[in-house]
Amino acid sequence: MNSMTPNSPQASTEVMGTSGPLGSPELRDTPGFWDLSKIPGTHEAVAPHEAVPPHEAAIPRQAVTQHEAVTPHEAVPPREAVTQHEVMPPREAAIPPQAEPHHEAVVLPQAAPHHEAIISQEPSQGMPLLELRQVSKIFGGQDGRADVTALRGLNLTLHAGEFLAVVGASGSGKSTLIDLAAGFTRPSAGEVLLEGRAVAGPGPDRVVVFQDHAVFPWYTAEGNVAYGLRRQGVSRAEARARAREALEQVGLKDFVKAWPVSLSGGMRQRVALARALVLRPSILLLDEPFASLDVMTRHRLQDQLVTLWQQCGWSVIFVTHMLDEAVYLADRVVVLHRPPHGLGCQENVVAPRPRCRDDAALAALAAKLEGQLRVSTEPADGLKMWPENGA
Amino acid sequence: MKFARAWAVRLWRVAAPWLFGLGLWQAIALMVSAVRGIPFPSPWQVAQVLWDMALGMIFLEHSLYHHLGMSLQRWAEGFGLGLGAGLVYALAAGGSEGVRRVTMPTVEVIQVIPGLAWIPVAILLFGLNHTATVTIIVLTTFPAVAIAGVMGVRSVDQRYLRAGRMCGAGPLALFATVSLPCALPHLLSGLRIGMGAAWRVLVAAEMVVGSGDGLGYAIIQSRWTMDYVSAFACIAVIAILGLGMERLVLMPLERRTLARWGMVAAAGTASGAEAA
Repeated sequence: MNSMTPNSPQASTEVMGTSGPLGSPELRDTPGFWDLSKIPGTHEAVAPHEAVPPHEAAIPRQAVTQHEAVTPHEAVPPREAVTQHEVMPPREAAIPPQAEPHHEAVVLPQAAPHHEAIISQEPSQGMPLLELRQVSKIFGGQDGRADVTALRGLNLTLHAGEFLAVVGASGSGKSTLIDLAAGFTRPSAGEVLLEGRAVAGPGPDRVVVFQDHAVFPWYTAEGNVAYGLRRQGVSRAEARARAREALEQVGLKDFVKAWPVSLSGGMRQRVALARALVLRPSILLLDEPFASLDVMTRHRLQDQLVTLWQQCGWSVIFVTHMLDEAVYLADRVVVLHRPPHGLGCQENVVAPRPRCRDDAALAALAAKLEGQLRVSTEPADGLKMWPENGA
Repeated sequence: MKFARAWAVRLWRVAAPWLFGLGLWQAIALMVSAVRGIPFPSPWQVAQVLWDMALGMIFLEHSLYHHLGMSLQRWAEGFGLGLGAGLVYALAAGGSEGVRRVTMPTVEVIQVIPGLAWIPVAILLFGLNHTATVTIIVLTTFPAVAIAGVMGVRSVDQRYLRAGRMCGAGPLALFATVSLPCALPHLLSGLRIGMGAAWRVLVAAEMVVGSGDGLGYAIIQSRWTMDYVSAFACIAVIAILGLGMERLVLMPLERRTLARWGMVAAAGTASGAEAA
């Protein structure tokens, strides 16, 4: 896809880092531009429900972690203050040595060392590509019903080249987050910044892969993938050639002319993936893309996604409710609680790639995150524990 | 042997519907002749008259082709106007809840009024002339297309619109590449109902025609001249053409689009097809 060396994510992040407005020195010198939390060893968790006295927040290390969860410009509400530090064991200790040979096939062997290096040194590599600052989204209630708050005061940063997973129960505003980042909807308050500029609407630089894939039934697989290119003014012949190339990349070489109705769910999702990657977006937004697929297909597509991500140098926001999926795929996992709590803890996943599905460290991390997630999901209606909910 | 048998099956498949329809007609003709003692045109008689007409026989001062041509012209005019108005209305009402609330009941009332009932209205509006004829056809086509069109516009799937916008489609491209195909199941069913209704109402519409021609006019007029066989022949022409439009225009259109896309039937819009 890209002109850079395939299977070299380090190269890709470097290219992204030095191109575009983000590469300009004056921007780099802006206070708070570099995320302090990428200093090695600061993997932290934020427990949303425990209020912290102000003096505790003054401890330097916690001040560091605030940068992770909250943009420097904003005051931190007490509930969101940092209360807990979880330092992941060093990568070498976390992964049993014998786990290494099990990773096969999907990722070419030479890809692993590069990525390993990046992750172990700087977990949150890169500059903020997409930034959500104090973002709230309130949907107006209809027919006399109360307004629905989907997100409140959310701060989230996506770094260039990063694979970020957002986990949360239904109703936590995950899909709203994707819609806002994609520009389908505008925030009710706060701002969504792409490379420092407010997002005005959807565009081919931020492509979404929907849970229900939304592949157009009235175009063939090739027509679907070529659709975006044609809208960009690419000639018919070139769009077709590039669409075929993209379909080949997702393993649908033999289904170029197939109508979506004749494809299986997994194949349609791969068409959606091809439609996204052919546009060469800088950000790929995935809204529970594999939720409706069977386990085998899901695993295969997950591996395919990681491979493509390593090849193409995307930044990814991957929304899911499956923790094992999140820790297996992502560099960083954030937990999103139902409003008004918003962003919960976040964890950097330091396991090297290619990863192993039954990695004990990943499982432990998933279990820990599940404990966090349960806090917000336990009261079924979300009212008992949080009386201020729905205010 | 096997080959001949396959051919026999195929022949039977084609012939059986014809045999059933024409046989029923023939049976009724014989029964009416026997019970009431009056001649009832049989299929064979009608076929003979149709043949003569096809060869250019003049009846009611014109050839069959002239009557047919005039009728087609009126139909096309009325259907075209009704279709255009219906689509424009569908865009307006489909897009705006307010417009829909205020105008939809009227459209629904127009839909349930039978074609013949429009005759006094049309005469009051325009007198006994071509315009009145076309008006009746328009009034029949419009509500069918409008109601299906509104459903079509409302059935446009938000997910597909988002996917289109995300790919960089502007408003015009979005309409042509997303909204239109999304609404197509409803649009095609509206088109089918509208086409059929407009063609059926032709007889009523040509009751008020100023000039003495047209298939509908010929059917009414044959009654006064006691030329029932010719009336039947005209009915047969109307039936064949109506069926022909359905089979030769609508069904291939549907085969090329909805069937291929898996968006079968009006109920099977985008989301329905997806569930499969």
